[in-house]
Amino acid sequence: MTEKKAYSKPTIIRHSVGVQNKFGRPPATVPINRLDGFEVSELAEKYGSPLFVLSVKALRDRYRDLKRAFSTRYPNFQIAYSYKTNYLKSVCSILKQEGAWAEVVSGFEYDIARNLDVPGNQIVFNGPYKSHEELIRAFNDGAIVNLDNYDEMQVVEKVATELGKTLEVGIRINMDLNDPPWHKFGFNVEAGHAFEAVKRAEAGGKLKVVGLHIHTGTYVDDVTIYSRAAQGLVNFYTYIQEQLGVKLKYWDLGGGYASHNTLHGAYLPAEQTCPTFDQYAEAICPILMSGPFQAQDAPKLFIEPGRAIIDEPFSLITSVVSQKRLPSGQRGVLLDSGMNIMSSVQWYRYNFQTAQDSGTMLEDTIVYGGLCMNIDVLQASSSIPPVRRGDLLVIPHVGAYNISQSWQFIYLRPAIIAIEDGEVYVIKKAETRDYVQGFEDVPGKFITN
Amino acid sequence: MKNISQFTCPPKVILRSYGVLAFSAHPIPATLILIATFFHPIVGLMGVVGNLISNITAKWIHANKEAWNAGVFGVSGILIGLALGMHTEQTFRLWIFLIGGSIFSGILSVMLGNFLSRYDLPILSLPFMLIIWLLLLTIGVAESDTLSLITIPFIKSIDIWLFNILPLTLFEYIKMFGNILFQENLISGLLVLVAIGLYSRISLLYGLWGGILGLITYIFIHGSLDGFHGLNFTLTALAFGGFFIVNNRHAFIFTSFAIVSTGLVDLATIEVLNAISSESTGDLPSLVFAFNIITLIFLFPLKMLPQTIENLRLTPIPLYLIRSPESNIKWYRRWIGNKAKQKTIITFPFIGEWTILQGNNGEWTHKGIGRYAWDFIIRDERKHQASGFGLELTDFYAFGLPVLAPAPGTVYAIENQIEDNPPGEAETDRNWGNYVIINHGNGEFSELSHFKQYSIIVVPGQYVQRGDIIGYCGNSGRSPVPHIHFQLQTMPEIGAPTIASRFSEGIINKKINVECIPVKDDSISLLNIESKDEWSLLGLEGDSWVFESLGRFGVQNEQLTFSTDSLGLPAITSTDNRLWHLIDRPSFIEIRPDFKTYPSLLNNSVWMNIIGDGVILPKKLVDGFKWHGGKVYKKSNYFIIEIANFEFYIHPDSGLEKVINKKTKLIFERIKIEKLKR
Repeated sequence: MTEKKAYSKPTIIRHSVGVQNKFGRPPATVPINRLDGFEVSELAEKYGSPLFVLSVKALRDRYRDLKRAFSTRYPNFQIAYSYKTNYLKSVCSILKQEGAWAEVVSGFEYDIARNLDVPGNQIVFNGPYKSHEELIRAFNDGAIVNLDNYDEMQVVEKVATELGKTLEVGIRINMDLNDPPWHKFGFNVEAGHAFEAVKRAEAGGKLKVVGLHIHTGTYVDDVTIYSRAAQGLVNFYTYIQEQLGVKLKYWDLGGGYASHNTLHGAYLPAEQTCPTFDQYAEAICPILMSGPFQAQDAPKLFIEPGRAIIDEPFSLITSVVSQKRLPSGQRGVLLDSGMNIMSSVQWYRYNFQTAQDSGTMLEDTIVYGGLCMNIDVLQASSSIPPVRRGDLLVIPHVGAYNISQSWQFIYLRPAIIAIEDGEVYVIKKAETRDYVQGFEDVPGKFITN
Repeated sequence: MKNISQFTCPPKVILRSYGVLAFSAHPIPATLILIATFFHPIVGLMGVVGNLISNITAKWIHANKEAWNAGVFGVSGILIGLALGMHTEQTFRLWIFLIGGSIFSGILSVMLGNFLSRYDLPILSLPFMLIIWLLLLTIGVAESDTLSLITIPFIKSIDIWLFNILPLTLFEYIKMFGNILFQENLISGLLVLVAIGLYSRISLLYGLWGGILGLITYIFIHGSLDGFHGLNFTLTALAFGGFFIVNNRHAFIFTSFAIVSTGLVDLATIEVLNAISSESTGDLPSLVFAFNIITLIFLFPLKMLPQTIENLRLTPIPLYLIRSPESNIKWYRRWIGNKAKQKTIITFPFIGEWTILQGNNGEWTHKGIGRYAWDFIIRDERKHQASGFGLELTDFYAFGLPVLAPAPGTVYAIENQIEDNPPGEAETDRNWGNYVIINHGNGEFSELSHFKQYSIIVVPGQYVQRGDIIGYCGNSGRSPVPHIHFQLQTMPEIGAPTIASRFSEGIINKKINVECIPVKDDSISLLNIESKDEWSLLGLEGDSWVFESLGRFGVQNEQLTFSTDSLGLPAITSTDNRLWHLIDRPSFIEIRPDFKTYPSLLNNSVWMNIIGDGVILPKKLVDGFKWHGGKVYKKSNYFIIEIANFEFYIHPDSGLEKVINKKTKLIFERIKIEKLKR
């Protein structure tokens, strides 16, 4: 019996094949029908759609590649994984296994790390808001705390008095590196605020400045920005060493390393613009090594990568709900996943690749999310071959922020699975109504009998 | 007399001289030997007098004090006394000859000792031989029938009884050992055997072997046992059997050869002496001439030959170190162990995790004099050295990575001009490519090769510290893929012979190792211990730590003083003046015993028993830190370092407080810290 096809209005579209232009890649037409050895269709059938899939091998490879690039260029190097990009317990555990420390930006994240048995002295505690209690806990655990503002410094001085000891702290600094500059975090160097902050911290007699932290921005694919940040750190360190006798135990170059996702408005695809970890390391390490110290006494270098190691290992399996023709003549495709679990669509021009052979007849398509909101557009323009309801799409490189920033709205959030060595592990079950409403309580008087 | 004490001789020196006679310088065997000489009381007495006079004479003319203490200058005196005692003519004149001969022997011993010590050769009983011949030529040779000598009757009767019940060969065989003391009875032979056996089992076996081989040789040459004297054979066997050279199978063959040669020389000597002797003098006895000559002749070339680590079949021991065959073996093992260790403390010349492409005795280029070298590369998860296809040098992970100084030193030479080869090609004209040679100031030089063109950032004459960046990895010289070549060498010139060396410490295949020689395909990285708790074994110079322990003779104290060695480097001296060097490694501290104060077997120091063979302790204390050979854990206020059977209790503030030997339950505990007044 032949399957009855859904009706679609006949349209004439321009058939474009071959290379986009002499810079761009040819449109991807090779379907992704397997993920780490498993049929995408089988995974979707077994665990549902949409479905986040973590390739553990890809995660480990990414981490090791980054570690190799930096640790072969800087003698005292440590990765502190940026929890905020994806704090699934399994992800954090795998990275802990690989030797990563934790970079947390809130008391909640701090708790996650401690709950995973990350030792207190392997946690870098950043973030603009840290409560008094959280700071006491962190200092008691021996965590590395970087101060963001004077108010925080005062609280920490109070903590020092309470604990009855001098506390070692790091100072967050910022410089004019990007356009627009990132001035939100820490004290500005050019305006002299950073120097004042270090001076103030030391002068209080309760704090000892042993670290500097700088965050260059997010998705920084220009390695020269890192070179400038590194040079800035070296210059600033040299200055405070001369002026205040500060001896650093660590410096922290923050995160912001790019992943293989193309930003909106980028002229070239990320495969061509995203620097390799070696390029980042080469831009940073030799400059830092020229700092005011002997090679064997080099301060510990932290970097806080997030998306650069977590984006690639995750893929999202999603299915086509419908396709329609818009009045403009453009094709629209509606998916069962929305921007509530794909918040990164705000920045990224994702690739939507079919999980089955759908031919090479690519058509410019607007991809809608499944939320009942007009703004839920996953991509305004994507080249997708013909698809039908029930066809599966795979969106690669979706690891960063999508899960930690996801929100629950009209649908339940999907399951998350991890694959390693031919085994599938459910690392987070799909949500249930009880999970969502479990904490709710309806006072008796609101209930209609 | 201003000072009478210079004409005295302490009993222990007298006794030691008796011990030296049978290569057994310890009071108990020496006493047994002394007793054996008194079976003929007059002979015994003359031996003691000869010994005393010889020793006092030697002291009077300022003989080498150490050698004098060891008793070597009394040996010839004893033998003169014993030999004269055997003379038939028991008159007053004989005593005059004894006194004169002994004085002469003391002087001659010192003279020959001074001469032979240049070649580190022993005096043996050479003075005795020369003097006794002179004396016998003067007073006439008239050897007595031993049985007619005034012998203790009891001994005599036992001897006759044994003679009747034992087979003749066995009787002669045991009696032969008494020959060393010119005794011709079985009891003295037995006593000598017991003395030797008490001192050293190796010596005993060699002595017995010497006797058997001697008998065979004698019968083979002479046809019968008539006129057999075994003393040359046994003495030669004792001398070479582990005493002057380290015992091993080569030494056994060598000794056997020497024993047979002794037989030949002895027979030849007898013939020569017979030929030159006249009616008036009578036949001069050959005595121990053959032993003396053979020992010197066989030992001399061994002392002269250079001792290289690969060619140590026959190892002579420096005379001042000799105690017994057993202690020689112990010394030898330690010496070999130390010889295999280079002086320079080296660490890996790179940052991060690298892999060995070619190790020591490698399959391609690390051969011959260049065999102690390493080639380092980087491999990724797929075991590839480059990303992509590796068509460009920049695809290679190792290319352009920093290369570090493996140890502090002064840059001796660099080459910076050679262009990098494309991947897969190697230049064989200028094998070493761009290189850096660092002089470590101790006769050892580091050589690092295949730097990127113009990437070397140090200049000759510049001082570099361990871990300083000296350049960047490239592909110059004989290098088909970017890699670092490293070797420690004996001379500053490029291509000099390499030195067998170990890296002080490092992580090899994820495990922490100390004193390591990584091999092909090992993945290795620098060790970096993070800890605030650094302790120090070092007190200030002159500080003493007094330890108390239950030793062999009850509770005893041992004082360890922080001092400096001859190079001014930190060291520890123990109460009995033994020295341990404190070798500073990046993350460890090694306590290494000093050669010259190497302990003998009879030593009683508890600290020596614990640290004797040396120990490597971590400098930083991290609970749960483990390395190949030991671990650290925390118990109440102490960090406990566990190595082999020992537990070192370390207080982070006050240092080493207690050592427990888990096997023997021996506790070595610090009871006091003494500070030198400054």
